[in-house]
Amino acid sequence: MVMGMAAIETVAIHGEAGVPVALPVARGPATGYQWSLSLPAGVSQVADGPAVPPPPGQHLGAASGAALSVVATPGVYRITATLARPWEPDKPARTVVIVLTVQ
Amino acid sequence: MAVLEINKLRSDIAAAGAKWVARDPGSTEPRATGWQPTPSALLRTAQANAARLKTTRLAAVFGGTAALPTVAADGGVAGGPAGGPGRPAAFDWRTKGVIGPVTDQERCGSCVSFATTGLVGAMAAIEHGGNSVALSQSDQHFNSSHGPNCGGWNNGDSLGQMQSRGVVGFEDETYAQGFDSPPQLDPSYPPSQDIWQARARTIANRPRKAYTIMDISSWGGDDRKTYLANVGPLVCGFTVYDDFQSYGGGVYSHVSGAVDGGHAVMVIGYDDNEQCWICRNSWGAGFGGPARADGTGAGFFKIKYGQCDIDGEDFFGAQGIIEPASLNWGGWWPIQGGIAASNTSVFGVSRSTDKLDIFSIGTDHGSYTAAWQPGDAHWGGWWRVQNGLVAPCTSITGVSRSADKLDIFGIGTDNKVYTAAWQPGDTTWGGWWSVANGLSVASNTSVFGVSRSANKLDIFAVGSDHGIYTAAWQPGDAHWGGWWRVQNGLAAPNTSITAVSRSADKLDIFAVGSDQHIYTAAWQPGDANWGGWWPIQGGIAAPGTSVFGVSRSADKLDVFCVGTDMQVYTAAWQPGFTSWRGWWAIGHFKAAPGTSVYAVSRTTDRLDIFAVGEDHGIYTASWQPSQTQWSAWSRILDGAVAPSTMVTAVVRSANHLDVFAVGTDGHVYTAAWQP
Repeated sequence: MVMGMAAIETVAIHGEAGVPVALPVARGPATGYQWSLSLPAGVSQVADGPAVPPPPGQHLGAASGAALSVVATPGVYRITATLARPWEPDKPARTVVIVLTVQ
Repeated sequence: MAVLEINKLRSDIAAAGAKWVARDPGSTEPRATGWQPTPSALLRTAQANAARLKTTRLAAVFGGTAALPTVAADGGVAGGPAGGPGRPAAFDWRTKGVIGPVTDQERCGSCVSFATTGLVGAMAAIEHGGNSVALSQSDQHFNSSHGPNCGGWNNGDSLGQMQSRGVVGFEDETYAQGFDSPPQLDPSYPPSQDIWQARARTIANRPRKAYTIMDISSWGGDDRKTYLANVGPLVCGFTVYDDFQSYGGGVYSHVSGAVDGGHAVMVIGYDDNEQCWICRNSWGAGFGGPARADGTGAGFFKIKYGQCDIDGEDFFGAQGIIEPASLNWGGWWPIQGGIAASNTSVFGVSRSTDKLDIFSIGTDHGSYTAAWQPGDAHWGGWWRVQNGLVAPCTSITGVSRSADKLDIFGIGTDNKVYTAAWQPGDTTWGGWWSVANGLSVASNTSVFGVSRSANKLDIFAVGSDHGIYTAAWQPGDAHWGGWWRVQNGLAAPNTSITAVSRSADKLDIFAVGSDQHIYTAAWQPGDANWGGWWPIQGGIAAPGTSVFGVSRSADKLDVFCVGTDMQVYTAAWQPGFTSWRGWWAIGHFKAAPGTSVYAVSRTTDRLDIFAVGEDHGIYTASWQPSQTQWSAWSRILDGAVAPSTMVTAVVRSANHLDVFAVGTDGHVYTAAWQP
């Protein structure tokens, strides 16, 4: 199955220096697909945001919903987030370019 | 971090002393093409092992005395529950060729439906022979009570849906058909989670396509291994951490990374030497790297016992896979608006080729008949058979003693046995006549008869003293002879005596004794008295069920009953046998309480049986000499019967089956099968 979303998406977000910023990419269900981040200098990944508890009886296959998070020093950064399976890095399912402005 | 740095992960694995390998991201190893299970002869042993597990582990199973086949273990016996079957130190269902190919749930949280459909498909192979059946994950996840979304679920509820509504084959709705083409993101989830939007689809003629299951069981501790080694695969849930995604062989144990979420997989084996479960994932055949000699890779993995909250809930198993009915079945058609009294069944006969006559008790407790023959656009009837009134909770049965003659038998409101007769030329039925004046019969029983040769009638009833009695008539007799007691047999409450004539003038009758054991007695010309009662191989019947038999060719006898575990069993006898053989469980099927199994032979040596399932659905299974085992049970369309009634059948000509039932609405229905 091929999803018709090959185009690279671009999203702009803002944050404060030294304060974790939740990126617009989050943990989905356990499917083997994972977001990986390409981080420029000045940006580092920190612990994910809080997970969303699954509804009762739906714990297997439920999305964690925890957003990937970063901290950065002031500046404008271009972060590339790629959704792929680790064993298929050459077949990304989705790519999101995040323009992060940190004050 | 969602994707772990591989060198850090390898360092963590080494530091933890874990025994698995982290795979290079972007590895240039050749992509796996999928596990190629070793072909092997399929598992009669598994079925026998399953029966053995049940007879030894469950207290109420068929008295625990039935002679079940013994099976060689697949290796060294390593223990198992006290008194239960053993198990080898390691077992992998792939060695039996019953595990289907690795599948891929893609970007949807449908792991539960991938695991449970994989389980049921494998169990179909184990129970019925052949390969794993490919079932529709999208029908299971999106068209069921789960609903059309890619959210999570749980194994118990998924199997519950498989039991109540079934699941169609993969070809009836492919996984891709559960999504748009191409798939789109579900707007009800944040786009950041990247979850596909699923669609519910209507599947035409779904009841004719659905596989269902009879039994769901859950297992903990070492019972899981015993089940795996003796019965079939299981499904489980565990927590996925980031490091699992980098699995590249060995026995996985969590060493680093954050929680990714709950996940369901099929457990296909275990290995005590490596202290691990062997599992099939649903992330495509690329997961875990290429197939390795140790059985990992290509979508399969091993996980250490107790890891990742895998013991947090029981593992689930499924048994009794019911296949969709043959497309050759037609029905269910109501017969002329007829409504039967509660707790009565409809019996029929074929008085000559292709003619059908059936008998039922109306809501006024009058006796009624309806008929069909070739050329009739509709059934004729219902016609009242004289003014006979029939006692509650009994049925009217019939015999055709020679071409086109009908004799029927019922129990009157005075608890005496009555008969009525019809033959060509009669404008009305003759009767009701009291049979041999006098036997007062036990309540909730019926009278069954047989014609052992042209124009001779022998009937059998349970007296109010629970003694077993017979009466007879043949041409030249002014009156019925009888009632004679058949030895000292005593029948269990609410059971009837059934009869078979296996060749001219021979009579064999079957009863459930007051001790619930199954007995037979026999008579043939020259015998001064009946022989018997002989117990049939220690078989014990469930309360309120009767034993029905059939002769599939001259002098052969096959009998069928519902055991105390509510499974259907059979035993057989033929000339040359020094004793009856059996009891053999027929598949894994659970009958409704108080129902019996009806059998017919539509051609020489072929057997068809009909039973009411726990869900009151109507099911059939068949056997013929070319088959090494009974066919799978299948449900006859969506028919269901009223409580405390049974389904019956008539062979009106070779290979034509007509079945009759009182539906849940009290109406009388028929269905038919022909090649």
